[in-house]
Amino acid sequence: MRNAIGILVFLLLAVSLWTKMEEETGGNLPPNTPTPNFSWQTFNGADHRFSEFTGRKVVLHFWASWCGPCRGEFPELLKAASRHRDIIFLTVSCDEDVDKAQAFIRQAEEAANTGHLSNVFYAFDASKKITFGTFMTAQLPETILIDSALHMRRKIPSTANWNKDELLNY
Amino acid sequence: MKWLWLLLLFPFIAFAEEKAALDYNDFARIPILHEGRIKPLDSFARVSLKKIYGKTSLPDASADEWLAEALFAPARAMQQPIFTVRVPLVISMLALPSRDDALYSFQEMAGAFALHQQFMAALIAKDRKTLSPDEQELIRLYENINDFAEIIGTFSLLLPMPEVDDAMRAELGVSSDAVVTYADMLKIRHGIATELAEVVKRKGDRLNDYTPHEQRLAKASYRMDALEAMGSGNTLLRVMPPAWGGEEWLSPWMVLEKGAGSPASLVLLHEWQNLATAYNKSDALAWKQASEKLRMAPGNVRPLALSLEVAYNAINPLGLALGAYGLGIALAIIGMLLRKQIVMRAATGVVLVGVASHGVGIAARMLILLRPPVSTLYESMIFVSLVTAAFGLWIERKRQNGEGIFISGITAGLLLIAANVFAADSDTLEVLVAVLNTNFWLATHVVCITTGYGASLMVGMLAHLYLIKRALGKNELEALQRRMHRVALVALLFTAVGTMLGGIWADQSWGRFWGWDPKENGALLIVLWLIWLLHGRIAGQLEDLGFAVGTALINMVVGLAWVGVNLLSVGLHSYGFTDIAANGLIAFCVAECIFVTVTTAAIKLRERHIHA
Repeated sequence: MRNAIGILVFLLLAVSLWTKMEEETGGNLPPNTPTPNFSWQTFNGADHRFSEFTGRKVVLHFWASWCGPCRGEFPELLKAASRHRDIIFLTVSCDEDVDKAQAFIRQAEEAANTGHLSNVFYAFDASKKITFGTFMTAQLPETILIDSALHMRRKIPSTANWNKDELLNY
Repeated sequence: MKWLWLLLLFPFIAFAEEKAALDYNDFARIPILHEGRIKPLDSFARVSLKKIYGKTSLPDASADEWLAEALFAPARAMQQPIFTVRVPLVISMLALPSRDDALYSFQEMAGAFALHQQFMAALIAKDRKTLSPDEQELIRLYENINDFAEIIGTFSLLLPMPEVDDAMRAELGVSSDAVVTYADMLKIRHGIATELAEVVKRKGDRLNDYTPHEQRLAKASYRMDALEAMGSGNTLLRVMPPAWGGEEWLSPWMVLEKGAGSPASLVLLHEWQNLATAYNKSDALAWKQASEKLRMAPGNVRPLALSLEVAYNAINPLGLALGAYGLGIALAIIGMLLRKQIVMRAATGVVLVGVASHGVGIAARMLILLRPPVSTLYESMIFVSLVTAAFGLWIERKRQNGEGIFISGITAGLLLIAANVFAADSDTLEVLVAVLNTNFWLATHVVCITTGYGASLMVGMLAHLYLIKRALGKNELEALQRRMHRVALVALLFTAVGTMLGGIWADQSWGRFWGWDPKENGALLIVLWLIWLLHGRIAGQLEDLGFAVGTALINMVVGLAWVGVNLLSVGLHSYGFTDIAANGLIAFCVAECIFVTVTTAAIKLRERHIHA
């Protein structure tokens, strides 16, 4: 009987230790992986590297002139960019036709009534090397929020609500 | 029936003709989220194959080899006869050819079910409890076909698109011999749609009027639409870790559908593509490199636990233990018949190896699942089995006459078999519902109470032995009585403390110590039964035979309290209902009653004859 009581006490202690260990394990990886240092081109063909934005928060936005939701969203994005001049807005067009893309930008700037903003950059990605080949963006529009260390913090698939300034407080 | 697309799309894609000799060590360890738990691909493959085929391997292939073929050479996998259909009515209803091995391929099964779409839809809509066994078998097969279709469709976005011509390759900026997949074609999807819309506008929808390039455009567009229709809802193989926080792993198609792609998921998808290419080219080096990279993929994964689980699957320590118990029983019987001490010792040694393997198996499960040994009905069965085997060794150490090994071998072995039957084709390393996870009081309660169950079963088995020996007129009955008394005290200690710990947990979780739940009543019944027997014996109200009969019947009480209340579908412990378990329990109780009645009658007759 003494043996049985000894086994009982041992079992209780072992299970106690086990449940304590269990509570101390676990946890998720934070979503702040470095952004790939991709190269991008302006509509004029000028080459740039993403790392040029080091030290600045970046909003990376993917769009196309043929994308319906992008038409409604883009002017709102420009308005947000005019309110947050400290943040870089790198917008990546997935169009095949450069003229259609530029016409889209003109219309959006008129609709937003912001004119050309110095913190908004336009990348042309007809080959989808950046869009799908780097960020695996399969649906438009899409936005990735990147911090000043150029770490990706959050992804917004589909349309973002640019009227909410909290969106950019990351 | 999205899988009907598979019958149209896959046969026209070129896959490797022969199975390649590849190293599956790393492939087996690739993490996957399945049924709420991150597990190695090996476990997923075994569980899936067991559901479909009834075993965890094929005659000519391991589960991993089967899964690799299903993922990367689906056209070949679709022709493999792996669906077991044993019900004649189902075979005739589906108009399947009659076969001795009752095995059919996906192609045959999907074709047969395609003719009964409306009937199946109506059947699925019905309440499962109202279905006949034949109808349930039909649904089981149908679900297996859906699961298999999901498996072979998992990487359909990475399989070659045969319609791609040089013009499309040029637009994609790849060489003329490059393999182009759906995922690649997404880059020019909009361009294809625009070009095709213009062609249709100019020439209408008659394919014969199109140029070869236009025809390929139309076919490529059709294939992409079909692949999307098929891929939509493909959620089974969740091998993509969360790239944007959270805990939800996704299947490749889900990543596209949910817009959850990231640079990391793209890298991962490329590795899967490399793996598929290596498989179809039988490139052992590229296969090894890609599977190693995928095994080390980022995510909330414990690589050591995955390796341990693969080893657990391969070694099967509980299966080894079952074999050892069987051999131990045989040796114990031979030893008792021949009265050879050396054979008895060999039996003890074999059971000791079985207990060690059994203990290692349970410890491995604890490390894999990071939880105490007993949390599910299956786990309680294998734990009680270990307890009874260990008790048997303890009894044998005292007496060394083979009896301890014999009765504990039978009990432990039967419990392991019952656990396997109960688990059927499900994953035995299953995830717990939240209420049962991470609680000190619950963990101590279940470990304690199941140890009590084990001790109770052992005293019950000793009583069986007593009744048989007394019926046969054997000697040494007093020693057996003393041992029964001692083990009954141990059983009472564990069941009483376990029941009280359960009350403490219930107080913390549900706000009351005692709620007259059937399970609580069952545990109390064991305690009261043991107290009644022990007090009856001490007070002299129960003589040796009465004590033995009462003790033998405790097996039935334990069976009803342990498994029975789960089958009532009432109360807070009504999990794990199965017809197999219910029928097994009824058969067990009937057998116990018959045994006790027959042996008691034989004892009475024999002793009356002697007195006369």
